[in-house]
Amino acid sequence: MQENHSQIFVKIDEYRDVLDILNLTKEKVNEAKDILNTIIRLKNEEDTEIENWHNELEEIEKKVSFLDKTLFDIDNR
Amino acid sequence: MPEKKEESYFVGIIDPVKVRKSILESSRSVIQSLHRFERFKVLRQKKIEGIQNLNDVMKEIKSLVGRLKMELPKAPQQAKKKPSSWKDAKEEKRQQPDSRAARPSSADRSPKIKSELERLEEELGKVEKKLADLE
Repeated sequence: MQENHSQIFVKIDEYRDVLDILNLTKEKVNEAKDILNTIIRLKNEEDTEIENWHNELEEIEKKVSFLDKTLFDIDNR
Repeated sequence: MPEKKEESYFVGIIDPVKVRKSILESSRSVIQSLHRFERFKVLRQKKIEGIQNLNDVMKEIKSLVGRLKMELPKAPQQAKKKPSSWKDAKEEKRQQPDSRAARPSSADRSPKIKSELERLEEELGKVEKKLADLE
């Protein structure tokens, strides 16, 4: 089935304006992509920090538990 | 009368070196955690700045797209295809969402207080309607 799309004409000076805006838009889209990549990188770094934090806290817990056993669990010596 | 001395009791620590080492290691880990927290705060601050920056750029893009829309002439919209039969018309009507159900009640939304989110939702609805008209 043939689609009925009527053609449109744009004045040449307006067309140049349109091209300028389009180029600027493309630049901004690239800028947005760069910023988004930075945010993703920062988020990954944050996640890594949280993971390390978690591991470290578990280590501290183990050590405190050992101290608790050694110092206060007199009966089971 | 001679003063009665308080008796002291002692608890023996079997492996004092190990205990001391454990205390020091715990202390070191806590300090490292605090240090990590400072780094985390910096990262989070940078991320918040990035998100704000991205928001600004997205607003700029939106404004540029708006300008593009203004610069270009409006295309004549095609008339909606008429249903070929009463069955098609019935089917089309059935597929359309109930406009009464979609509209929020006045109690739900105050017209005066429109959040940014509601404004964007409205805008999105308009764009989607235009797209549907083009199809």
